[in-house]
Amino acid sequence: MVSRRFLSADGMKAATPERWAETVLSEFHDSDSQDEIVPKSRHPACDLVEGAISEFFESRRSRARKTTTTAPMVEISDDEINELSYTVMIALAKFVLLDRRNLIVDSPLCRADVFQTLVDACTPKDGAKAATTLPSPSPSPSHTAIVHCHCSDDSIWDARLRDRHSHSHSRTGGQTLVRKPATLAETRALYDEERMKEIADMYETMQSLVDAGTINELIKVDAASDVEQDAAVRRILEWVVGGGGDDE
Amino acid sequence: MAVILHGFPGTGKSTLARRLAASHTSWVVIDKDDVKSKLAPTIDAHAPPLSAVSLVSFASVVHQERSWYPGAFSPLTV
Repeated sequence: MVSRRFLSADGMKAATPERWAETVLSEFHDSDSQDEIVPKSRHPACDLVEGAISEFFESRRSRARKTTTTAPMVEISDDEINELSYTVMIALAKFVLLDRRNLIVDSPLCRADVFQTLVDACTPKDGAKAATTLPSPSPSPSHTAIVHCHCSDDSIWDARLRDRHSHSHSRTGGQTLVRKPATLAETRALYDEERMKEIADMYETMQSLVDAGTINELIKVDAASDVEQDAAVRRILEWVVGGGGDDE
Repeated sequence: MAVILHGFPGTGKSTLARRLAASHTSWVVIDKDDVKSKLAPTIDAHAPPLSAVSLVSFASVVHQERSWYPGAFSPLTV
């Protein structure tokens, strides 16, 4: 069943992109210090997120349909909310980098073009370009790494999914806005052959980005291997703490 | 530094993000599912209650338009 949401055209007028951007941004807090990562006052990040949301709604306004018994309604599918989430995520990533912070983007599999936009936002070229258009220029990230996570052991993978689902279910009582597969079989059912091929191609693309020097490194981590996970954490921390590492 | 975690569900992306975040205070973690869970309620907060009547009305309009322009709309599943 496809999850659908409806928003009245009148509601959309009231919910300006500015208001939406501030609502979303005000939710982001530093979990340790409780400081707001993004202040509520006008900030370059608001413009980035506001622009993304505004563009999304402009494209949907034209689809609003009048009925004889109800206000004009716009249908927003779960896929479209997903798409908007990626756009906002990329806008936030740009802000974090422009604010000279170290960034981790925890991104599920997305379309190749969305992934490319995310990589562009996290690589020096795009960072430098964005910095010239914002009031507080900042250096681009010193190092960009893509960590490709996989699991070589189906029983461990299935157990991880089941464990995550049961924790999430007990925490939310089954009410969740982000549906995640509960088993490996469900995960595989979500990705048909064509999608699997697209994902395999994306890995090739990631490798070519490393070869071209666009990103610094591609780290493959197996969830079934504690050794690989420890090595990945150590490798990344070398860059954060030491400001460098060998590029062998 | 920017780290992009990528992979199928359940392959350890969030686990790795948590380990990195715990190991050094300078990290900011942006989780796509977290962004989505914050966006969806703002849509719902501005949307009128979706009553059975409005849903039926909307469905009937789509059905009528579809009959005028065959193939213009994908099947409505709610």
